[in-house]
Amino acid sequence: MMAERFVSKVKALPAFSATVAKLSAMVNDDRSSVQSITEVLRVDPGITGNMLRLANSAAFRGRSEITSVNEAITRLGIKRVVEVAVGGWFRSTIPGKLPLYEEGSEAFWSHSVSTAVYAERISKVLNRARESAFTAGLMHDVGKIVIAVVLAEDLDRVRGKLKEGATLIDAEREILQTDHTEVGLGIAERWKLPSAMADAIRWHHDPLSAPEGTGRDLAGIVHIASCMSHSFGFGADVGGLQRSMSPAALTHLGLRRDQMALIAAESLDEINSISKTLSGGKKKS
Amino acid sequence: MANPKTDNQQLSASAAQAGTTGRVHSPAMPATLVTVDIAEFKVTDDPGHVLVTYALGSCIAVILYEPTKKVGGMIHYMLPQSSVSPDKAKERPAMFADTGIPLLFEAMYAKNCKKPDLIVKVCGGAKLYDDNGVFDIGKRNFTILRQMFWKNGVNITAADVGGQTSRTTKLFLASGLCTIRSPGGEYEL
Repeated sequence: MMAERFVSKVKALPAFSATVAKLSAMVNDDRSSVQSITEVLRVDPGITGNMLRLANSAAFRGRSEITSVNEAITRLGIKRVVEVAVGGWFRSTIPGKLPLYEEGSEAFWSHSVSTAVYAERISKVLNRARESAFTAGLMHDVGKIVIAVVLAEDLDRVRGKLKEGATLIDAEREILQTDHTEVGLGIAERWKLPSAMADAIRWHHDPLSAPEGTGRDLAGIVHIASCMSHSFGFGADVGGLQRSMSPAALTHLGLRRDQMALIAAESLDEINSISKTLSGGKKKS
Repeated sequence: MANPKTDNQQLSASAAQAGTTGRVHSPAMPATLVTVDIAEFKVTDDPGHVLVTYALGSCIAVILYEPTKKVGGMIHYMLPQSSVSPDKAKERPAMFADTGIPLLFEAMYAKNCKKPDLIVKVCGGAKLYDDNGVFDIGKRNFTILRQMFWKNGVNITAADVGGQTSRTTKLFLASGLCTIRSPGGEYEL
């Protein structure tokens, strides 16, 4: 498979964060306590800083300022704490520029975070795939990172296809004989992400081809979340709005457009808070 | 109607060119970019200001300019109707067309602008390719705007709406020049 060529070629591909892996395991272990999670977090100043900033940001702020890891866990909840850890680490893997996609790292990041927040909210409304929607949304385009880094030489040809009106996936397939979803699957396997998450990364442009079950639900949720993100202008890339939202995916999930509008309305502050916080105050491009 | 005719000539000319592509050179004066974020509106009478809003997809920007007083305003709204979330509308009225657009006009009136003197431009409202129109929020965003303008006797001077394109728009307060940048290039609106 061509995708393997990419994954093996990228020596710079970061390993999955050990802290994040440990945290994810702890969350799924009933014996974990806030205390034991705090111990893991304490040794990672990056995650601790992000957590405190997020707990005090506009979308999550309470009456009093939060100054300790313990309080931050209580305010954000353990699930969100793990998401913060994943998010902060994932942010650090994004290269400064993704020239193939005419996307700066801020644009890529803004699309990733907004897709994560929309996906999480869609999963709540539908009560499906709630555990992994945020992270799947966050990482759905991870294949682009690799393609963008490896394939500087094919830039112009892919761009040419896009200018002719091709969708991003079609342009990638024609020039690279693979696409960012296939490459993303290779990375998901290498990082040992849960299989539903790997399915969502692989099938977020074609959700009904995903294996039935949680994988298909999650692929559908991420597909819609990603389309909403593009529609609302988060992280405009070279593909622009030349993409389609699958009506079949909407039918499969049973999501209505008034629900999507409500999700869009209620997500904005959270998207802004998370993307700013985890960027470590980097300037928006 | 007051007499904005003379001040308006340059703008009318540029409005007539809307849709042509090519690079637009910014006026050579020191300018401060003032960003209008998504779900926000701003009004200013500082001639050194350039109002800008980025990456309009299905969202719409309404740009108002009063050429004799050189007052300008811009809103970047996301959704047509506040009924979807009245709580959010209280907190962030500029998120919705029906609560945000009136506030933009009121802020212009507060700067002594009169409705007939306003140059009104609109852009955005793009769509994803979508067979069934399931999520054509861009179209609904524009439909409600036209209904509101029709009811209130507001005429649109120039519009660049729809398509599958992302737009960034600027309003130069000193001149009233309004530009759009999209993957197709940069042009005047």
